Amino acid sequence: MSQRGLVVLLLVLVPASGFAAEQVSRPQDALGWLNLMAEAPSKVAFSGTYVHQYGGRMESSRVTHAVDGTGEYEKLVSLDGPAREIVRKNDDIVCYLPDAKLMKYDRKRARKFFPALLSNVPDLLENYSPKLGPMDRVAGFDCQWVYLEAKDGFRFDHRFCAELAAGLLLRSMMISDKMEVLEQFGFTQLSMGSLITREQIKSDYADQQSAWQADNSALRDSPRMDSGWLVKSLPSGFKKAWEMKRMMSGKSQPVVHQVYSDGLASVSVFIESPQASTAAIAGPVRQGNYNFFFRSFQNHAITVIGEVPQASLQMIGNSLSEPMPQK
Amino acid sequence: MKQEISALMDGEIDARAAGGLIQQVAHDKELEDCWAAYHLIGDALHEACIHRAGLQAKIYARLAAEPTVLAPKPRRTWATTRRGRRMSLAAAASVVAVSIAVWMVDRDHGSGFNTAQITPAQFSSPDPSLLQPAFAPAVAAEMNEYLQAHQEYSPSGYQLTTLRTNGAAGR
Repeated sequence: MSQRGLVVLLLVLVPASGFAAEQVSRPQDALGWLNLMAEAPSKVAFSGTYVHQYGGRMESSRVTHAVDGTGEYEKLVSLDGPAREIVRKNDDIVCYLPDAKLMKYDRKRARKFFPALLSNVPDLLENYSPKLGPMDRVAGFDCQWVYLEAKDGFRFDHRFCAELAAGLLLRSMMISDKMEVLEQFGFTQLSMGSLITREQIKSDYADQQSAWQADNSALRDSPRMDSGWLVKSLPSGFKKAWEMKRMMSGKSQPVVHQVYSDGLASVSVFIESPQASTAAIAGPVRQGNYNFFFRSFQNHAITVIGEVPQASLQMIGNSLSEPMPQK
Repeated sequence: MKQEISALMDGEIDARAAGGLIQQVAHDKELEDCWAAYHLIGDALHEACIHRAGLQAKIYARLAAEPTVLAPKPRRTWATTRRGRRMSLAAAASVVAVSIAVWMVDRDHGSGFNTAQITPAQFSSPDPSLLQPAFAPAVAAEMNEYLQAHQEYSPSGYQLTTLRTNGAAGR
């Protein structure tokens, strides 16, 4: 038996023997680990560096995360490219862009911040089958892999590795049906503990704020709305997470933006008004870990994007129906 | 002439010749469009914010017709120019990404995690869009705009690079 096999066997046997009380609470199945990973960011403080790889690109970020009775406090600093910083207090976000001396206020909305990628685990199980994977080690911490295998061809598989004590997600992967790693997050350095307080979660630029420009437009201009556009055949498990009208550069008219999600993967549908539509391209396109599907419908240019298989995008894009006239 | 404009942008023409060339470009609409198009391509390659005011429609249409013809050719001194160094950095970053991906997979084999079937195809070569636009710049810019909008509202992990300075589109 390999050394790792022995360790796994011990982990199974140890709780029964009452040898180590703290290990008794460890989940015994994939579902238990998923729940633990979903809850961990609201319970543990941590700081570390993680890498995000997608579509042939790589970004490193430093994260500092504190929790107390009032919620979660987090600071995110990009370590590559232009300096960028995000300070989040629960759902309120301030983005600092020092090169432009600009602060942008925003809300979290449907966004997720690694390692808090999992939520509403029961909903996920409608579309993914959980499976316990092997043990591993990430950023110096032992962790337990849990696989979420897509139940149909409308989404990709996901894998998550949970740190053993608190269940913090240490590494995640999205894997295509051809077993390509499409996207992954992973800590490269991590320290956990209650030493991080919310007072430490403040921007490096906090004392320069008076000289910076503040942009509140994201709070003001993108209210949730219902345009009346309907997707008649939505792939199973996908629900509308958000809808808004937004101005986009190069477009004279606002564009309807709908976001659909199955809890892990998401699809955006963009519908341009006929006056502003410039249908330059049609059909399926793949760019990195994202698929695109373009079509023209009743003179509206339709763009569908998502980190899902092309089949999902086409099912959505081809089943759009126009809003009924209001009067 | 297009070669010379490309060389001018790369700083490979001496000051006196450059002065004459700039005069020519300034007085010839076609050369001016070419100059703007090369900058657009450069910006697209470096993922800079693409400015769309005014000059687009004609250039976009022409680029859509012949995108490869207008792509500046790499030259021997490419790596010594400022733009070349930036490209080299991008290429180096890709190599790092590839190395790490490969290392992660190797490591996985070693730890008994069965990734034997997983191919890091996405990381085995740099994103083609970083090196050579597969689409006319207008289309690539539009796709990028939509992609960034998608990422801002996507429940998949937040990407700091989606943060932009232009207020209107950056929310």
